[in-house]
Order: sequence, then structure tokens, then C-alpha cells
Amino acid sequence: MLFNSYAFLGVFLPVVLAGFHVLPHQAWRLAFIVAASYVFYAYDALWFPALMAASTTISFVAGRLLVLERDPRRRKLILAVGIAGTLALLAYFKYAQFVAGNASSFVTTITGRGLPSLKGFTEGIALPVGISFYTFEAISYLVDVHRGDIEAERNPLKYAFFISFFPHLIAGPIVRYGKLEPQLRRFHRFDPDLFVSGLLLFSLGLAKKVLIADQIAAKTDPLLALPGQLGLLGSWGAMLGYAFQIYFDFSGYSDMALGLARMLGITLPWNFDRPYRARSPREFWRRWHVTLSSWLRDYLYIPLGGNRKGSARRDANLLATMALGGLWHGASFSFLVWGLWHGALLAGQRHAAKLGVRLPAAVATACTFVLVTVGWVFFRMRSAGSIRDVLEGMAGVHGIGALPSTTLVGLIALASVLMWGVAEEWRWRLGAWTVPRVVLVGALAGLAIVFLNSTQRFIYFRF
Amino acid sequence: MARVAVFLATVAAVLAGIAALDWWIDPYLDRYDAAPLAAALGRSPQCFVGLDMFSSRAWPALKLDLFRRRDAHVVVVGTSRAGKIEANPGERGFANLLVPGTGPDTLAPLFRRLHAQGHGHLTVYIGVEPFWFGRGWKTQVSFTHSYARSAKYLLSGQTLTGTLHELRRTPGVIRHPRALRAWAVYRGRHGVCVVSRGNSVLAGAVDAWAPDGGLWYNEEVTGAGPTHGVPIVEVLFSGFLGRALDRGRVAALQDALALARGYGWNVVGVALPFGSEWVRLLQRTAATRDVFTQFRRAMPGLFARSGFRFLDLSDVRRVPCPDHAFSHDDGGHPNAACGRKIRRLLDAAAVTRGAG
Repeated sequence: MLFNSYAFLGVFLPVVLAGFHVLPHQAWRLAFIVAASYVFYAYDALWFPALMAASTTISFVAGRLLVLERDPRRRKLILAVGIAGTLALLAYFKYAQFVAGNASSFVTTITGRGLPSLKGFTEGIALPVGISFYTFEAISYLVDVHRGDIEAERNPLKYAFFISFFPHLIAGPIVRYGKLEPQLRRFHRFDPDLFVSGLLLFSLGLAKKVLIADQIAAKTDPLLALPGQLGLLGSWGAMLGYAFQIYFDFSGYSDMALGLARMLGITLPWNFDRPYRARSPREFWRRWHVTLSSWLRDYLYIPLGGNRKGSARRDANLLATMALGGLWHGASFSFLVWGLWHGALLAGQRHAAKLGVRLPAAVATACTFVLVTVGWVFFRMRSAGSIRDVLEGMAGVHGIGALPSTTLVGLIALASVLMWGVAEEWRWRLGAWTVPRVVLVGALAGLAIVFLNSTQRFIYFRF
Repeated sequence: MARVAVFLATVAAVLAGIAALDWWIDPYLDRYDAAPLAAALGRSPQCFVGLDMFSSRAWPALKLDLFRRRDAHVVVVGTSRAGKIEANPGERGFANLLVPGTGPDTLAPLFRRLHAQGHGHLTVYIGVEPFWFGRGWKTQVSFTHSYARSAKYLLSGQTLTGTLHELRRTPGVIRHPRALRAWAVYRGRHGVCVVSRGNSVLAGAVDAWAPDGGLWYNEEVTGAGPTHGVPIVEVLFSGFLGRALDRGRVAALQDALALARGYGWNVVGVALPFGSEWVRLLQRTAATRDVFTQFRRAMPGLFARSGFRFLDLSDVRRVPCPDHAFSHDDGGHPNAACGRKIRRLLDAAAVTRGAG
């Protein structure tokens, strides 16, 4: 179910809020939210909840076994089996088709005969939305229990809540159990300021998505549909537009998720902090999809050795981590290249810093933004030919070309003002806002509701 | 919680304001305005009405108004394929109530609305379509008044964008919204008279409603040379697909017939003609054979069970009309000459039933 849909806003959310605040006991509220989350998930496909329940059960049982087992080798084995179990679901639904398709192509190239049965077997596998997110949450839980950072949960209802909680189910933020569990202990003392801040943050996220991201998409999608016809101005206009579109789309979703959780008395971790203000690729990843980048750091980069094993190994670790981060977004070579691009930027920045390269703040910000925007070409375009077309357009190979529409230029200007002139919305002290500001947000929400019928799915729902 | 109340009140106020503005400007002419039809029927000879006078969502209201103004006792209902079943010369109490996109579930609500107008005994000719009962069909016409549908129009981003576009283009429209609905009576060759916006019909851009409610293609109104359209069977191909007739839609048709019988009306169903080559194609193609043949087999019995007759004119030669007797030569929209023959057959069937 989309947050930006009439079904969610008009039926699901009012029913959940009313039910949640009417129920007298914590256990009932937990059970109610878990049930509501499964209904929310089933709205897209009836079999999705079964998959989530399987992932939840595997990781919960593995967590319990980790507590019972003392032998380190067996504990490692339990951890490996638990992770493999949850990853197997992700691997099958997300990567089987990619692997089978490429294996078939490879065999065809070598032998002249394909693997039709293998390819046919995986064709038509539907990707369950949100599986990448809750798989990573389950893995972080198991690793944290194994490390002794957190205690394994005894209450399956609380654990089911952690995995299924609908505000973060579909597209994050990726939550760590250690951050969520303490909140469940005092779940839920009604805090009117927190509720109001949640309502306003949700509305601001909705406005970011519907009134900015979707409006930009309406202008950039037609341009990027014919990349071979884009000149210098058109390709830069389209890609700058896309850079803002994906930010306002995903951060709008994250604001909505944070806002929903606040209305239910839960504070979720923030995911964005005006990322294009970053002065370096490293800073960018501390502002962009932060719960993913910190997950990759803690559960991949550091276990690989991080920066503790010399410069060459560090570079390799960065490239490997970011390449896997790219593939997490989707099973395609373009996401792999996007990840490698960012891995190379991170490694390159470290080498530049060693050489003493220092840029003025504004120049560093501009350079980072341009490099990130070039990276979005790999993220946005699906084929090697279209990637080449856009990159050639941005390099001026296709000539200057025509200016993009004034509407797109205006939207990019508005997005720029918000990016560099205003703090990220979750930082605003919304709970203390007075009536005039509440009226302003209400007006934005009303306008966003009117444009809901032409809204698009969130970009990150695909991942 | 006062702030929550303020927030919700603001959202409600903004939505109400936008809905009011969209209603006032009505950029896509969703609201039915009776004046063009009154003007068209008030002329002698009566005028055609351009399809661009209203959005397609207002067509049911137009047809109900036509039914009332013509004091009709003989009506045709169906899709655009029934467009040339016309009033006989000098016949006043006839109205063709076809609306493109009509389906079996359109009929019962339409019958209720007709009955409510108190015209007494009606003779109803239903153009029943085989593609109504395949898996790819979707009915697009409703004679039921729906607040949800109105709200969807008034609170849509597309409508608001249209409103703002009109306000930018012509700021004065806020005080004179009727300016958007401006129309005039245009006269063409052979004394043809059309009520339309900006001469759109006679200029060759838009089709028109005939004074009796029939649907005339542009070149048929203007007398321009024949044109060729996409064959109707190709356009509606998915409606023929399936292994059996859709039970829900058969039930909807049965409900409508039961309603008509309860009102004491005389109903004649008709399978309107397709070109012979298309009939052969539908019968031979495995994917369409079942729906098409079951339709032809089932309909006479279904109508008979309600005490009504059904004419199977699926093949154009059964009317009989020549194979090219179709508007646009599209093999699916019988032309005026063929429509007149169909009308005679329908009248005869209605009398037969009445006599029986």
C-alpha cells in the first residue's frame, strides 16, 4: 500500500490511529500494529506476508538459539545458518533471475547453446516490496545478538513488530533492534507534541513527494525516455532534475515514515540530511540514506577489515562494500557500476586528502554534487546505450541543445533553495509549532491530496 | 489536540476551496448544461450537437435530458454501434440513448432513471454486444449519480491544473465561467445545422449527436468523403476473449430485463451486425470462438425467459446489408442505410411481441 494513496490516507491510517489510541494495554497495541502491518503488506500481494513471516521466524528462532548456545563455533554456525536463511529468500526473489539470465547468456556465448530451463524457471519471479529492507534488519539483529550488543528477544510479538512495523516496512529507514526495543518498553505513553510533530512531518513528506518529486518526474521522464536526443542543456537539466527528484521522493517517503511512527509514539532513525550540501563523497554518505550506509559500514565494511589493513585493502573494501550496496538496490550491472562509482569516489577522496588537496567549501560542495549527479546516470538509466547517450549529452558531444522547460528550471530552483537554504524537515521542532505554521502545513497537505491521483510509486519501492 | 483540529480543518478548507473553484470553472465541461440541447431541438430543422459540448462523463445526463425533451416512448440503448438506429421521418417520441462504453451493468440504473421520468409504457431496443461478456471488457458508462465520482473530478490534480490553466489564459473567466462553454449554431452544406464550440464539427474535428440522439461521425455530418477507421473487432478484441460468458455481466443483463418486465415495457434485444469476414474470424479464432458462439446461442433464450424477443443480426448479411455498409468501413458501426433496415426489423419484432 502506498502512503500517498487514498486507501492509506482515507481508510488505513485513520483506522490504525483510532484503534491504536483506543486500545488500553501495551500487548494489545503491539498485536494490533503487527496485524495492521500485515494487512498493509498484504495489500500489494496476498503472499507477501507469508514471506515476511518466514523471514521473521527464521531470524527469531536463530536469535533464540544463539542465546541458548555457548560454544563459539556452534554459535557461528547458527549465525551463518540464520543469515543464510533470510538471505536465501532475498537471493531467490531478487537475484535469481539476474544470475540465471547472465549464466544462460554466458553459456550461450561459450557453447552456442543456452540454458533455457534455468532462465525459464526464474522468469516471472515477482520481487516482494520491502524484502531488501527487512532482510537487512533481520541480519543486523542476528549479528548484534551474536556480538552480544543486544539481548535476543523473547517475545515473538515484539520481534514481529520490529520486522513488520508498517512505517518502515516498505522502504526503510533500516532500523536496528537495539534502538527500537527500548521504545517498546514504554510503548505507548501518549505525547501530544510528538503526535503533532508526526502529523506535520508526515504532511511535509507527502508534500515533498507529491508536489516536488512527482512534478519534477513529470518533466524529466519524457526527456530521459529519449536520451539520444538530449544536448548539453537537456541532459544536465534532466539529470539535475532527477537528482532532486530522487532526493525529494526518498526523503519525502522517509519523512512520512518518521511522521507515522511518531504518531504511534515511536522515534525512527533519520535517513537524510540535505545530502547535496556535502563537501565530499564521504560526507554525502553521512547525509544520504544514512541507515543503509551505516549498515553497510557496520556489517560489511568493518568486518571486511575496514581501514585497518593498509591502503590497498581499504580501497578494495570500499569498492566491494559500495558494489554490494549498489547491487542491494537491484540486480543489474548499472546498479553495480553505480556502487563502484561511489566506491571509487570514496577511495579517491582519501587519496586526494593524503596528497593535501583542499578545496574551498563552495567548490567542494559543487564538485561533490556534480560527481553524485553523474553517478545518478547509472542509477536512472537501464541500458548501456542510454547511459552512454546521457553521459555523451552531459559532455556536450550532442551539442548544446535546447533549454529544458521553464517549469523544470523553476522546480530545480525551488528544490535548490530548499536543499541549500533550509534544514532537513526532521530537524524542525515541529512539536512546538504554533497555529499559523500548522495552517501552512495543512494547506500543503490539502494541495498534495488533490494531486494524489496523478502520483507515482516511490522510487525506492523497487528495492 | 487543538493543533490537530486546526490542521484537519485547514486540510478540509483547502479541499473545499479547490473543489469550489474547480466546480465554478469546470475546465473539462464535466457539468451538464441543458442550453445547447435546448437550442438544437428548438431549431427547424433540428440541429446536431457537437460531442465537444460536454465531457464524456456528462453524456448520460445529456441523454436523459434528450429522453425528457423528446417525450420518448421508443428508445435505443447500447454502444456507439447503435448510433445509426434513427427516428423514422417525422417521428417525435423516439430517442437514441446510446452512450459509447455502455455495458450490461449500465442498463438497470438507466432503466430506473427512465422509469422515474414517468413516460409510461416504453419500447426499448437494446443493442447487446458479444464483447460485453468477454474478460477484457470494462463498462465505462454509469447513469447512477455518484458523489464519489464528482468528488474525484473536483478534487483531482488534473482538474485543478486545467482550472489554473484557464485562469492564466483568460483571467476574466473567474467572473464569467460560462465563457468557457461558449457555443454557437453553425450551418453547413445541405442545410446541416450544428451546435458546437468554434465550428469544431463542420471544420472536421469532432463528431456529433444527431437530434434524435444518434451518433454521427464527422464526415457523415459534413458530407465529406468516406474515411477508413480501425476495424472495431480489432479495437475491442480483448472483449471477445474468454472461455465462457462472464456470469456477473449476464446476471446484470438479466436484472435489467427483469426490471423492464416489471415496468411492463416492451424490449427487443439485438446483436448488431459485424462485417461477414469479421464474423468468420471471431468464429474461427480459438481465443474468441467461445464467447462469440455462446453469446449467439444464449441471448435469444435469455430474452425469451423475460418474455422478450432477440434478433441475431451478428452477420451483416442477416439484416441484410452489404459488407461495406459500415461507417469508416470499420466492419462494426452500421451506417445510416443499414441502421434504417435494422430499425424496421426492430419495429416489426416489437409489434410481433406486442401482438403475441
